Amino acid sequence: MEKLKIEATKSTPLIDFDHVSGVLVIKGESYPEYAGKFYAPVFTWLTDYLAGAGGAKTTLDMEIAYFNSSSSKALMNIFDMLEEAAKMGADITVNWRYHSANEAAEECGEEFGEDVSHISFNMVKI
Amino acid sequence: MSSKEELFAREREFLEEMRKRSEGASPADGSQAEDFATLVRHYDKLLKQTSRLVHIGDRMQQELNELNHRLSVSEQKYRNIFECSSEGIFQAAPDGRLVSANPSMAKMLGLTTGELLGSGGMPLLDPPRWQSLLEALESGGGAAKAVFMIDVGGEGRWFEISTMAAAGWAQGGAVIDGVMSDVTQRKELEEKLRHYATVDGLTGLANRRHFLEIFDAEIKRSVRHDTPLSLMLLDLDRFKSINDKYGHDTGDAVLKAFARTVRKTLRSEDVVARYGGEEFCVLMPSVGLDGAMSAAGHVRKAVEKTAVTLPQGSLFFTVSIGVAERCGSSPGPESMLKAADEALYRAKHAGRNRVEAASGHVAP
Repeated sequence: MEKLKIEATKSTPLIDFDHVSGVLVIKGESYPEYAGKFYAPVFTWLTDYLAGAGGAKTTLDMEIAYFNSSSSKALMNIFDMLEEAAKMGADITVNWRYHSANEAAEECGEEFGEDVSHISFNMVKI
Repeated sequence: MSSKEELFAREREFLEEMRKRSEGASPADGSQAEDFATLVRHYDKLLKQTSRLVHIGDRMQQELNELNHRLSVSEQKYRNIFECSSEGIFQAAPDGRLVSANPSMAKMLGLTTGELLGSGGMPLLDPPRWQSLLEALESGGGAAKAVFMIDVGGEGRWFEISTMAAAGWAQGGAVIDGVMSDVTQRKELEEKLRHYATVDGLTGLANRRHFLEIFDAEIKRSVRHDTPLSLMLLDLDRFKSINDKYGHDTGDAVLKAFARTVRKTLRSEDVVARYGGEEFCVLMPSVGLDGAMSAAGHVRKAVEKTAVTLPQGSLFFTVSIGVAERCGSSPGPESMLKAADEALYRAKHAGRNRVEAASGHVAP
């Protein structure tokens, strides 16, 4: 297994997933024309990672200021995968980081947080 | 929450009905009933996700609308400044063509904004001057100020242009923002002041201060290029008695007529100056002593034939001239002036209306 790193562009966030430390970072803005295509390698990596993670601690740091609807669906899929793994016993934390002035990001984080119960979902104001 | 529920009320109702049906299914149906229950669970989850997606989408859209509104408010603010400013405000493409220009800018250039921006935009400056502005922007870290003369309806007018490279300048694709104002009046005033500071008011010749500046530069140039340089010192003969006898107005008229004659007799590159009172200087670049002596002879003869008209008839006057050539590797203006003055002294003592050379050369 290798690390997954995709540099940020104007419309896609930085993806920096490290299977060794268990720290996964998604940071930037997300409104790619084809969200499904952009997030496909992320799902693949995550599936492989979660299959072998066992009880190791995993932290997903997310800081996404703006995103489009298809990106929201992709993020839901990610949370869904993490939730499934947590239900099976994995130790998973999600830090939803948002700027204090960005109310939309805060509210959307809360929306995402409502859907999960097995992962610890933290709202982090920056 | 309630709004989300309402939006998907029909689907919720349908889901409820399906759930009841799956609960009511007889155990005999086996795996088919289990599949049905899984399907219902997935439908439930999909419904939740969809309503969240719709909500998140709405929230982001709302944010976007607010941003757009804020943008249009700030855009309007700058638009007003752009429209009302008395200074010219413009944007130019990297090749110098105008992309936008405000009404003041068009007015300054004597054109309409349509004429400025039509058919791909007019270039603000010709390519060499535009290039020099771009270089100034480069070396000035994205800001530069320069004064250019631009033809406005056949008349050259001066404009001060302040430019600022917009974001993305380093990538080479950005437009250049600029402000320009008509500084023709200031330029003309500066020109006038410079003129007053360098020109003798009565004769229109260079004044002493300006002459000494030029003298210094010419000596250096002549040393550097190893070319000759000659100096004439001219003094009107018996000027004091002309003043005493005919008055200062006549004295001034004599000085003016004399200045005109000298100027007319010599080459345009010779520098003629009023050194003070009735004393004048002529600097002759690239001319040796012989040439200067012959030119001085022409001046002496031309002055002899010059007259000012008075009620009682024509008033003639004469001039004595001392000539010196630069010698040695780096003589200062003082030593040349001293040599010419000494020659002038001899010309006066030998009876006036004469030309004497510093080396003892006597005019024919």
